[in-house]
Amino acid sequence: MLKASTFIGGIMSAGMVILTVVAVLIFFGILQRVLDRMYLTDRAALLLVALMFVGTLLPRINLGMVSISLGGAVIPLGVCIYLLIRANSSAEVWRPLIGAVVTAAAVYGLSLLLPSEAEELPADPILLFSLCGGIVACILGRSRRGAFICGILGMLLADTATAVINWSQGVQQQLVLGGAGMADTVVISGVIAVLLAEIVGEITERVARRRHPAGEGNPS
Amino acid sequence: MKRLMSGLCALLLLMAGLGSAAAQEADTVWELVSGDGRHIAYVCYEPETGDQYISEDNRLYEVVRVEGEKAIAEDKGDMPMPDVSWLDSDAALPVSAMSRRRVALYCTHSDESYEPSDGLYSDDRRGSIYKVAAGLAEELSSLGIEAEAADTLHHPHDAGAYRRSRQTAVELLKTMPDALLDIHRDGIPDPDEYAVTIGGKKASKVRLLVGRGNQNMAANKDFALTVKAVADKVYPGLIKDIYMGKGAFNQDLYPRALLLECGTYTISRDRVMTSMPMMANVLSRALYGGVTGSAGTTDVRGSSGADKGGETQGQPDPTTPATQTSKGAGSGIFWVLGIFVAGLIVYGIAATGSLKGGMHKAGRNLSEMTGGLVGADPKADEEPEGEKKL
Repeated sequence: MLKASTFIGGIMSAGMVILTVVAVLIFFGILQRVLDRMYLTDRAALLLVALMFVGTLLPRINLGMVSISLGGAVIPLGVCIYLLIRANSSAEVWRPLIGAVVTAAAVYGLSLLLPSEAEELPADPILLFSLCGGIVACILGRSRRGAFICGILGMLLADTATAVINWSQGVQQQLVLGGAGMADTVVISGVIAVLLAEIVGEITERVARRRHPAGEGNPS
Repeated sequence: MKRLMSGLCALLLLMAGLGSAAAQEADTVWELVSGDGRHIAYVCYEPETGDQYISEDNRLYEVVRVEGEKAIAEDKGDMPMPDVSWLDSDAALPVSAMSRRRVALYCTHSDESYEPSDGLYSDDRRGSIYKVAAGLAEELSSLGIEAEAADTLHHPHDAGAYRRSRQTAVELLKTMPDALLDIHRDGIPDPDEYAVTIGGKKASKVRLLVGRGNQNMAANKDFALTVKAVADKVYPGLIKDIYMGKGAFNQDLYPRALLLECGTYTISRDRVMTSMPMMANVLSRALYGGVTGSAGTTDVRGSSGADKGGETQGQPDPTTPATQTSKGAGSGIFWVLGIFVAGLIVYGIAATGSLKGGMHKAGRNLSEMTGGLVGADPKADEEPEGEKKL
């Protein structure tokens, strides 16, 4: 007897498949809206989301002690480089780069400050680190694009710092960059950074519009 | 703008403050007690109001307040357990269409070891917890299940360990396992909390941990209940209890993911290894029922020779192993959609300053995300391409 709810080789029931698909689709939608603000058209943003998804499913690129995910590191990093190239001023280049270093320091510092057991943390570590990266990136990035660069690069730098310290202590542990693909804190912190910058930007613009109804405001 | 930035800075400082305050109590063991002071259990994780606990005898408790190192838990009565009466049944069980059976294991805390047998409770190189995971994988393989125990390290044992192990978890999910298990050992000092004798063998109990801060909570709780119900039937005492606490433990990645506390650091690893064949047997039955898999393993119904007993209640659906159930999916979908819609509306209100404007903005964003299928017409008040936000 084969139950009707059993498919995909019996791995998941229909309900579980729907639950997973809904969660993934919502994240795709949010990510697409975030990428849409990165000098990209709607279609290009959608294409990047699709590439990140495929990149997440593909095997990671192994380079000895370093392993890189296409979806979680290479493509987000590519977007950051594209944004830096498209920058309109030198400030739009150095500000996110300095911000990324500070974000990395904040994320690394947080891992030292917080209790080691996830159960004792005030919130889930994935959310905490992503929020930390996102908040610092939003503060220092000063724009949606700057926040994205800070969030992505900051998290990658924090992972690199942890690996370097491990290696210096003789722990032969591979450095994995963006290994969880689209579900990695690298991508999530970039998304949170942009969403925070978006909310801050919207509020600021609304306040500016109220103060200067004739459109003389100074949106960030 | 400056005020908003100051607010964000304050939030960051608050997060760090919360963290450091919690860090001071990193080695604390909390006691769950009933309203009249009766001992229920010890846990190594700071309980929070709303946490739930299912005891060995399947009583449900909910933490109502925390006072220092004691958490007051309200007795919510007997926990309805899944019906596993098919374990006793002689009737033919459903033949599964599964082409293969697969379970994936990993260890988030790479240092965890067992002091009596390993000489140290935390090994900076590679903890013996990997031997436990490998042992469980081997036992699962002997039952015809493809079991992969990742040997990836996630040092150091700090708050970022779950961030690193998430990468391993996603890598394992690419093989499409039926269950994803994170193998740990507990930090409770008293070894008697975990010591047990099952079928004359000195073994160790296993605690199941379910994160309640994610969309898969209901599904993973259901899986944990099935595992405990099966264990109660074939190896009573093997599953110590189930704790449902804050956090996700990477269980947001998969609706059949569990964290297993295999003994505690003061118990001998030999005891834990003795439990692994039983645990493998329980997982096999909980996931696949009594079916015959393609790997050629025969049905193991009632052949363990272990004690039988334990009460089962709840919905009788005696032919539904965990891989084929949809329980918990509905609440998970509402959970995801609810947070998403609430987030959209909050963003809309922040952007427009009014509920009406917020709803319109949320509708417009929803429409843009769904290509115009749902929500307000995005073209109605579309901003020109050249005026996209910086």
